[in-house]
Amino acid sequence: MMLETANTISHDSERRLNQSRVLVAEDDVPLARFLQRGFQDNSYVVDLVHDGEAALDVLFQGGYDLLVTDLNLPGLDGVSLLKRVRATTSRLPILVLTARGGVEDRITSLDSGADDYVIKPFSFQELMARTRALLRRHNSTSVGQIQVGDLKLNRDEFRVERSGKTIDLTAKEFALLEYLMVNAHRSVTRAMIMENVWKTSYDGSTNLVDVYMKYVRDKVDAAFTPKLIRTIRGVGYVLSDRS
Amino acid sequence: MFSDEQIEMSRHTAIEMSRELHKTAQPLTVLQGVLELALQKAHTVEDYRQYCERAIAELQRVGESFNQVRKLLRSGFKGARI
Repeated sequence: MMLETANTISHDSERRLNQSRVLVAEDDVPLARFLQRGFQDNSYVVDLVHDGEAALDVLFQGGYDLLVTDLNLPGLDGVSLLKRVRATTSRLPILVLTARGGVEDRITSLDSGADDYVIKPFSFQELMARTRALLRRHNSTSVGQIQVGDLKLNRDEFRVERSGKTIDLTAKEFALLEYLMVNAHRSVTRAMIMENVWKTSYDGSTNLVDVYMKYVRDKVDAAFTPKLIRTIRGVGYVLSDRS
Repeated sequence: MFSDEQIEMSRHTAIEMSRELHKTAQPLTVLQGVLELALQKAHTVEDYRQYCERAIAELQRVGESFNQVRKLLRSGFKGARI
C-alpha cells in the first residue's frame, strides 16, 4: 500500500495536541507533495496516498479528522471512494479537489458524500480556509453532549435535560434546540434555521420557525430561570445563559 | 462540408485537447499555492530560491501541456497554420 507520512510526525502517539490529521488522496505527485508541505506548514499532520484503494485501506484504520481527495484517482475513482467511505462513516469531513467545475460534477461530488469542494486551480489560502471551516463544523457537531448553562443536550442518547429534569422533545424540536446550542451566544436568523434544521431555503412566507421556537421555549424555558432563548427583533434568535 | 472522417477526427482532437488542458490544472494549482506561500511571510533568500525553482518546474509542466495541445491541434486540423 502506498502511504507516505511525514518523517517527523507519522504516528498518532507522536501527534501533538490540537493537531488535526489529514489524509490527502491525490495521484499527481508534485501536487500531492505540495499539499502535504502546505498542510504541514499550517500545523496539520498529513498522510499521502496516490490511489483510491490505498485511501480506503488507510481510512479504515481510522484516526483521520479530514479526507482531502482528488476525483480523478486511479484504481478506485473519487466518486466511488466517497460512496464507500460514506457507507461506513457519515462523520468524517471530506473535501474534494476537482478540475471538473461543471454543475453536474459538483452535484455528483456533494451527493456522493463530499462536504465541500474546490476547483483546480485553486488558491491554497482558500483551501486552508475551507479546511478550517469543515473542521470547525465537524468539531461543533461531533461532541456527544453540548451544555449551555444548566441545559444539557446529548446527541448520542437523544436526551435533553435542564437542572437535572428530563425534557421530552420531538425530533424536529431536538434538531432546532441542537442548532441553537451549537450556535450558543450567537444570533441565528430564521433563514439560517430553515436552511440548517429544515434543510430548505427560507422565503419569508412561513412561520414554521416561530411555531417550533414556541414549542421549544415552552419545554425548555417556561418552567425555568433564567430564560435561555431570546428573540432578537429584526434578526432572529439567540440561546445564551449570559445576560 | 466536412466528411464524417473529418468530423470524427475533430471530435477526437477536441477530447484529447480537453484531457490535456485538464492536466494543466495540477501544475497551475501548485504554482498558485507556491507563490501564495512565498508572499505569506518573510523568508530567507534560500527559501525564496526554492520557491522560484518550484514555480519554474510547475511552469515547465504547464509549458509541456501547452506544447501537447499544439501538437494535437496540428495533427487534428491538418493544413491549418497553428
